[in-house]
Amino acid sequence: MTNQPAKGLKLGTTLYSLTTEYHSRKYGFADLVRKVAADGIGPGLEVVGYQSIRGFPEVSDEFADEFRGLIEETGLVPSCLGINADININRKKPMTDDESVEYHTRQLKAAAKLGFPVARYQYPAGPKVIERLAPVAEKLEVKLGLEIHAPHHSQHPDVLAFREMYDRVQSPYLGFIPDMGSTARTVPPSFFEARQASGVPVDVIELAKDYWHRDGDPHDKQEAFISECRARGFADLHIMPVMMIFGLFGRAAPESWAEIIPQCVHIHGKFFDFEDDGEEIAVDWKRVLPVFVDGGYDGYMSSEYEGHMWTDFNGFDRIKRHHAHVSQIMGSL
Amino acid sequence: MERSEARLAQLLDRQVETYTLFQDSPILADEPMRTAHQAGQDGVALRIRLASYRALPLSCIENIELMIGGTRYPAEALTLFIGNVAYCPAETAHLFDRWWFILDHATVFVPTGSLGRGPHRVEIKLATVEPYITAGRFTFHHADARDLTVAEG
Repeated sequence: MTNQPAKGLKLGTTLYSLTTEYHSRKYGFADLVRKVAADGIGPGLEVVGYQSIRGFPEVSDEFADEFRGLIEETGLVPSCLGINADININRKKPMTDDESVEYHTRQLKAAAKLGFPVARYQYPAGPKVIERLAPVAEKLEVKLGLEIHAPHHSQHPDVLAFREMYDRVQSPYLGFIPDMGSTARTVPPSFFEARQASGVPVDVIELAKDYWHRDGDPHDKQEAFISECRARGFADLHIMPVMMIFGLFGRAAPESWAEIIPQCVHIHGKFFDFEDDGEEIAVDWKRVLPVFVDGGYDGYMSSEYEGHMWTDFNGFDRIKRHHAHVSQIMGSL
Repeated sequence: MERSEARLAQLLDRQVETYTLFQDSPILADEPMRTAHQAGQDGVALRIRLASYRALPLSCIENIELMIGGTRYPAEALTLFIGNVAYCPAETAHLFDRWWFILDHATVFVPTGSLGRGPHRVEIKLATVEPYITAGRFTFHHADARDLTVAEG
């Protein structure tokens, strides 16, 4: 059904990659799942709860039955459910830890009901709340994976706080989900092309490229970039859509994932643009994949296409190209 | 991670200002507006959908405003119907347990009085906030515009 790489790492797709197709109502949820299978871009299937499931985290028996039926029909494997740490859902005050534990517990129950073995959580939840959720995760048999996304990386202080808690708690139900956007080698060209097409001056874009490639803390670089743009008289209207790059694409070395691979429960295979020869431009997959293979990772990787934020390219085609690219590299390892 | 722009708020923890991101998004349904009557006022009802990748509670709808035929209607003037429940868009900050699913259209009543058949230029601005931001305020301003006719409701 799919190109299965020789090594243990297994491929898949997150339906988040198909946000444009779904939001436009071109494909319903079941249509997306069937097309993922038909296009051979499983076997792993990842879903974002608040995107795909009406009433989430309440999952009706009807929906659970329908989902189970789709899985049986297509042969896909539920790999990960994206859950959210909506700390500021009440604009009047942030969630208390108790409220956050409850908010996450409901989503974990949804993951269990649908048969997802892993839930992707977000770092704003904080180590204290996640520590309290470890026994819940164990009871429900759903692993909690912290998504490590740009500008974070395995050695970032925010991530080290979770690593320290993990070391103390020692639960196999607490893990990590590296996002390859953290360890990119450049900003995808389509991003800058889209910004330029919407009126951002070329000089702002060239300055952004220059700052992105510099060493240094992304916060500091972003502040310096904004300051310099403003000093040069550029409008915030043009600066803000570009300054996102410091939070979307990180420059950490792919090898930095190695020390946490034993605790990885899933991977977000972030990808963007391809050269004509099939090489991905922003993420150096030839450098990334050996790190996980050598580290013995044998779980799933969701191909995650986020270019829908700035382009209308066909998500299915993009994912197929990513799978082909990754399979080819894996086959040569 | 989805909606990565929201992560920027983490980068903005040290900033004092609120940053905003403007983008064009499909919000207005491509169909005629309907004549309608609400709370003693004549106007039109039109269907809109959320410009977000995920469902949001009404507490994360920071602002809705419409411009129809050059006349501006701020949030206080509008009535928002989600699942047949009426809300004033200017008073939703506490509604963190009322959800708007992204595939569901909401209906907005606009007190335009009696509009002709048109077509009329309709512009909408929808401002939303991602709820997983831990500090600062990062607002996404979505905008959409269409020429819409009016049909009998």
